[in-house]
Amino acid sequence: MVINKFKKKVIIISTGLIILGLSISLVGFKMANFDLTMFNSNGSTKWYRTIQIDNSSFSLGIDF
Amino acid sequence: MIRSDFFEILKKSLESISKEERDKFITYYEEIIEDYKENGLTEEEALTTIGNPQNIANDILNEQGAITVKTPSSNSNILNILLLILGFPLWGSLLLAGVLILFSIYIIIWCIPLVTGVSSITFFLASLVSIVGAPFMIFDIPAVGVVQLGIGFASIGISVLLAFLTIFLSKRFMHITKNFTFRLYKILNKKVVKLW
Repeated sequence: MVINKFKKKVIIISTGLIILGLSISLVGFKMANFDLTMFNSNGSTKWYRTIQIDNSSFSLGIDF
Repeated sequence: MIRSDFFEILKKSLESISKEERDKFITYYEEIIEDYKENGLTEEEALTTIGNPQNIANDILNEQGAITVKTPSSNSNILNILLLILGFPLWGSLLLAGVLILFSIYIIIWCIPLVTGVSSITFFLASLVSIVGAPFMIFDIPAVGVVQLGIGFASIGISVLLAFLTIFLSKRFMHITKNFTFRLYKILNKKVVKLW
């Protein structure tokens, strides 16, 4: 059925995106030598920054 | 007994069977009466020969396998209404409790697709800002920018999967809710016994 094929393709693409995204993130962490202090926001807010790691807590979001 | 009385009693006594079956029997006895009249009997004689309509109905119901229950008649609709009003504090509160419990169950069930739906939207918005802001972040702190880009892509994938999950759960729960409500309605509307 056409609809089921489309759903399957979308699910496969989504899973691929997740794997790709996690791989790119891993590359980024490797670039930082797995130093989490680089991800501290230090109180500064930037509209283009969506990830922060402060006091061992990870946050994904927009901070104005 | 006159013909109209005979069929009125017969119809009323056969209320518990389906309309089609009832009409079949009515037609059958109408034809019997016509046959007797053709053979020279008067309508009254034909009705006497056929017998008591109540007994005829009992025989039909016994053959059909229907169960009849005789209960003392309250003899008054006004009394029934009065009993309903007086008993309202009891049955009313029980009914209200039942309705609220059912409503609570529905809310709890529907919270699941609501959560997945809202999460899908949230991840999508986060992914948009992450990907758009990633180049700026790369110029600022490259490692963080790359991680942000990766998180952005992953968030799109998560958002789409959650959207599919929301649609799937919504369809399932809609089906469950409709079926359950319909079954409950049928149970409450079921006519189990014929009261005399």
